[in-house]
Amino acid sequence: MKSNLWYIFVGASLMACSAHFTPTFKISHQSVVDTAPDTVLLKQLQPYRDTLVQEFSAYVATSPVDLVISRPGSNLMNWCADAVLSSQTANKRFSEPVICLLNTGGLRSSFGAGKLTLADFYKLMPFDNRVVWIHMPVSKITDIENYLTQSGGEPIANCAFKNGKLDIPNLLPNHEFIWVLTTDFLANGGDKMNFFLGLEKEETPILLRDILIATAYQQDTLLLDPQIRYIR
Amino acid sequence: MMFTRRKLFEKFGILSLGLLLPNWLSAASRKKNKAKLVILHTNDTHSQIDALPANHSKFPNQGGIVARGAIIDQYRKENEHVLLLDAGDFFQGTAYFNRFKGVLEMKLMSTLAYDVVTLGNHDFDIGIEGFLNAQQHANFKFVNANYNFGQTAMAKVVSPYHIIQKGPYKIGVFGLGIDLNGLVPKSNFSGIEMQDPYLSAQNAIQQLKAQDCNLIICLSHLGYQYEDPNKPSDVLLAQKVADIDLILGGHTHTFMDAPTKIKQPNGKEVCIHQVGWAGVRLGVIEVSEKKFNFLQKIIH
Ligand SMILES: [Zn+2]
Repeated sequence: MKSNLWYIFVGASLMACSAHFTPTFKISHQSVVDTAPDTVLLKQLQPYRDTLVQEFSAYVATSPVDLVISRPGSNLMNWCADAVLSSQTANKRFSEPVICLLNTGGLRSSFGAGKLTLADFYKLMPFDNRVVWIHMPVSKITDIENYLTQSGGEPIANCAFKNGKLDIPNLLPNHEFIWVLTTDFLANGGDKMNFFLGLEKEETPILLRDILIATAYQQDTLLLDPQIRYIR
Repeated sequence: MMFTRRKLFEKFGILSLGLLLPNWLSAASRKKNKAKLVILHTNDTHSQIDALPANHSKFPNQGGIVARGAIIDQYRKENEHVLLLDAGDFFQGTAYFNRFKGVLEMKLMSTLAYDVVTLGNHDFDIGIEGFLNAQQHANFKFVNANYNFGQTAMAKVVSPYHIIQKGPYKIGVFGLGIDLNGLVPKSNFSGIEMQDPYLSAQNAIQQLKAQDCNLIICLSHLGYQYEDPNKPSDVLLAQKVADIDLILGGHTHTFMDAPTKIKQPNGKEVCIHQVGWAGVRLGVIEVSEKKFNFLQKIIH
């Protein structure tokens, strides 16, 4: 009898506990603005900040106009794709056409006209993606066309997208393959570019960002093509 | 004259009463709030260690880890029980990350005394080895319940959930991550398998309930909601999986001015909250117990 009562007591108290414990939430947010900074954090951060400012404020090139990343196409998207294409194909002859296809989502920043520093290029291309050559059968170009129709515009070079078709100027009827210059991220199916999967490819150790920095440095004043290469 | 004297007396009286208060009582008025639990949360801070620049189109001079720290300090001063959480993508977005490979983020988040964080897709941007190098500087917990870390070294540093006791609250925090395929180069997560987020959530919740957690929080990097009705998201998670109290999300960089409340078949309500990106907002959730409100209503 005694033990039975004990069970009832424990049971009742457990029930009471779980039944009554209902948390209520008051959910909001606070804007983070600098008022009285946390000095411990500031002290910890300062040496890193100094290093970065020193290293990344180096002048690279000048842009004559505002540079934007914007679908369906833009001066900066063209410039990036052209930089990859020309750096990889300069002074070489190819029996098959070479185009470049990057991803709009991978270019992360627009710039104002004027001086561009190393920091700007890291903002534009923060990812450590490397250039890859992909040998693509001409028959698979429709996959790129379908993708571009869906996506609404990606950086492309040595081709234009018109009314759902990719226009590659030096593609001849006897060509069975083209070369597509892209990044390892996209070559591995990143941003749903699954059409690259399973194709023959040649990887390079060259970072896309390094190409952009070297090209800008050589040009000094960026050579820009404002022509939109994507026409619906 | 009389009136003035009385006023003065009253004033003096109040003042003298204040002076005569025992030490413990005056100290108590300055004491921290013990009844309440305050949950502070961030997501997609993306290495935004400095405030955004003054010419930023949407959030000029906002964010920055130093300002975030000051606000968090204030909450800790005023409240006994504060929980600090992050829903992933603390890496990638500024040159701090490129230059110092995530080490600075880990050090500063440790100084901020984060309790638990989950992993976003960008937290794999420097691969498993890169992550582990940075992670050595972290003194907080990493949770994810739907990645099978298998034989990778990450299995040792990421657990499905973590339990923290804060006053009357036994809090179970588990993590969910987005399918990394197509978002992260395969080589950056080789050996890690993606598992069904809903089943993984159910397993974690079952274990948290078995350990008597009375508050269950999901740190999710699934994303708020998608056009594709089958793509796992926080909204679908709230509809499909029972017994989560709060879903603190990320990935879609969604700025929410109010939480989304979803009523489940069992009548329980789940709250989803997300605070955009870049650390321009800090999520603030004050948790109190309904029990007290109920009693108060009876008393009055
Ligand atoms: Zn993110």
